[in-house]
Order: sequence, then C-alpha cells, then structure tokens
Amino acid sequence: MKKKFIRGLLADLLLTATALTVFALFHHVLPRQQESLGIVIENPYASRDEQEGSRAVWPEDALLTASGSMSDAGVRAAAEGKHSGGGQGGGSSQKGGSALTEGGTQESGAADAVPLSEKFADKYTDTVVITDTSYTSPDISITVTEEHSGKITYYLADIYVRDITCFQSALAKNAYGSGYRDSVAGMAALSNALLAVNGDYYGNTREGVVIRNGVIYRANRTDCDVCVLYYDGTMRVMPGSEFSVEDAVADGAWQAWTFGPALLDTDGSVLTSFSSTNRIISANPRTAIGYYEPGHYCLVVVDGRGESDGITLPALSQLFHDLGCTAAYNLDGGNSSVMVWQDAVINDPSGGGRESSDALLIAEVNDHE
Amino acid sequence: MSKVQTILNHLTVVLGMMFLVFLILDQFNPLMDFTDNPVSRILLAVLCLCGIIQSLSTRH
Repeated sequence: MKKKFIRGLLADLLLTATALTVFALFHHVLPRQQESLGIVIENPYASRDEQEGSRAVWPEDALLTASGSMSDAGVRAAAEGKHSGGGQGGGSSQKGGSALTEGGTQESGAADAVPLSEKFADKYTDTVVITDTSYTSPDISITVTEEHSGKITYYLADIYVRDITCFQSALAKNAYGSGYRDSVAGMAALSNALLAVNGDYYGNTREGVVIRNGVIYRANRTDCDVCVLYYDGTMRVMPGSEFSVEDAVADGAWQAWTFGPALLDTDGSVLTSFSSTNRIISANPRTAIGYYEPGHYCLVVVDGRGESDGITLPALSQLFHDLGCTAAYNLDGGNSSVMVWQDAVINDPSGGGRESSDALLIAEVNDHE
Repeated sequence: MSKVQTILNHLTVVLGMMFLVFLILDQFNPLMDFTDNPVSRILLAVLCLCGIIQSLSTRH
C-alpha cells in the first residue's frame, strides 16, 4: 500500500515536471509572433529634401512650451490594422509596478524659449569626434562614465540628440512576438548603434504598451507605469490606465515602454514608496532612462549581485533626482541589465547577462563625414 | 477505485503542483505572468472542475 502510494506520488511529480516543461516551451521559449496593431505614427517633423535625401529634422524654429506640446505640425496615423484603445483586461501582475496615481502624468521639463538648434549647440561637433568615453557629431553627443557610490557601480550615459530618430529601439530577430531574444550587443551590432541598453523585455508578457520606432504594436491594459518618448523630444511617464492610442497618435509618440515604475514624482521629486513586490524594490542590477528636457536624456545601468551591490528603487529614484532629471523610468533589470558602448559590453552583467526581446539604441540616422 | 477517479486524482495533484510553482515564480518575477495568461486560466478551470467532481463523487 505504501509502495503504491509512493509510486503514485513519483508519477505525479514526473507528470508535473513534464507539464511545466511543455508549458514553459509554449509560453516563453518557442518563438511565436504576436498580432500587432500595426499603427504607424509618422514623424511630423520629417522633411524630404532632394539635396539632402530623406531625413528627419528637428523643428528648428519651434519654441517649446512648459508642457512640451507639439508645434503646429499635425500628425497623421496610417492605421493598418485594428485601432484599439485597449485590449484584453490586464491582470493584477505588475512588471516593475506603478509609482504614480491616476492623473499623475509626468510632463516635460521647464519652459525654455531657445530654439533646439541653438540650445545644445556646444554639445555637438561639425564632424564626428570619438574618444574612449565620448562620441560627438552634428546630431549626437554621448558621454559615458563609470561611477561608484559606496559599494554600487553604475554606468551613466549622458545623451544629447538633435534628431529624435537617433533614439531607436531594436526588436530581437527583427520580429515582434514572444520567444524572440537576442543579446543587446547583437542588436546593437545589427543597428550600428553607438550605445545600447536592454529594454522592457516586452516579449515576456502580453500586457502593456509597445511602441517602437513610431509603430504601435500593442496597447493592452496594464497596472504598470508607461513611459512614452515623443517625436518632439519630450518624455512622459504615466499610469498605464491613462495611456490611450488616440492620444499617442495625436501627440506623436515615437517610443513607449511598459515596465516601470516611474522613478520620480510628477514634480520631479524623489519617490520613496513603490507598489511592487519586495524583491523588485530591493537591491538589484537595474537599467533606467532619465529625462532632463527635450533633446537631453540619460541611460543608467547599475551592476549588482556581484562586486556591486545593486540598487533599490528608492535609491535609484534619489540617483535620478541628484542627476537633475525631471522624469525617470525603470526598465527591465536583474540579469537583463546590459550596456553596450562602442561595440563592447562595458558593465558587469549579473549571471553573464541575459538575452532580451528588445533594446534601446542611440544610432546615427544621417551620414556624417 | 475507478479509472476515472484515478485520473482525476492524478490530474488534481499535477495541476495543483503546477499552480503552486506558478505562484512562487510570480512572486519572484511578476513580469512573466505565469498565473494570469490564457493557458493558465484554462488549466485553472480544469483544476477547479477536477476538485468539484472529486468532491461530489466522494459524497456518494
């Protein structure tokens, strides 16, 4: 009788292991394309010059308001598929969670009446200049530094872009769906990226918003904060419930990520409490994006689970506040946190790093001598 | 014990253990959505049915 019971239990364990393996294969491992909304948001600032070729330019004469609202240029969206403001109901699962309450959208930075072309003129160079820690060109200025704060090591990429289309996303295997993965270095190499970090690993879930390079792939409900980067250079972090496809199209969304949480409050102040699990809030390797004002951003990758201790969400919030950012957003972390600079992984990824479904890149879009 | 009851017993144990694993994994990484996805919802429905059928069958 006892032997029969033990045999039955072992059989159950074996069946459970088999079922879990099959489940994981179909849920996460095997590549599977997902249905995409396929809504294309055109760049309202793109101009076609026969002499210069097709390129995207900043609104040279546009003066930004405090809200960072777009200029008079309109936005057209060519809908190629379903146009949905929401999708399947979101569950209670949280990626990075949410730190903003409804109505708590982080707007852009302070008002400034200086045209963009003059604003950061001292950051750019007429020709490409490359050093070990910097890259400057007529459209891009990047400075990468390794910083130490106590037992925490992090890498800070200070970024100025004159053309927002230099701030790109890459999808693993150039495919949208679950199970598609590639190393950040691999995606950076394919895109000739100057700088790359892992993204929000959208392929691991079906919820949330995915906008990459002006295409809305997904706009499902989510409990997480959503970060949107617009064609006019502004960046907003909002509760997931406040995102709408119509607004994204009207406001000219260029990129959008779903992971979170927001790292700064609506007025740019430090956040000390986050509605997420203790494991997510505690010290971990992290990747995050910071926003100062249109055209000026930063990417931070924090090492952890090794010689570096990793960083908690409250401490990361403090870091972005100390950097002077007006908005900041947490991306996928842990073993995913990787920064690639000049074709090399420069941080110490936990566990050797992990392939991801997407990456954030800074790459030239115009030819420079 | 009939074959149907035997299958139901094993199915209940297997599905129960699967969901325990899902719950633990979701604690570590909520991003992965182990408990809240279309396939898991179907498995949960099957687990519930197994439990109900077993419970009713033992009353007689």
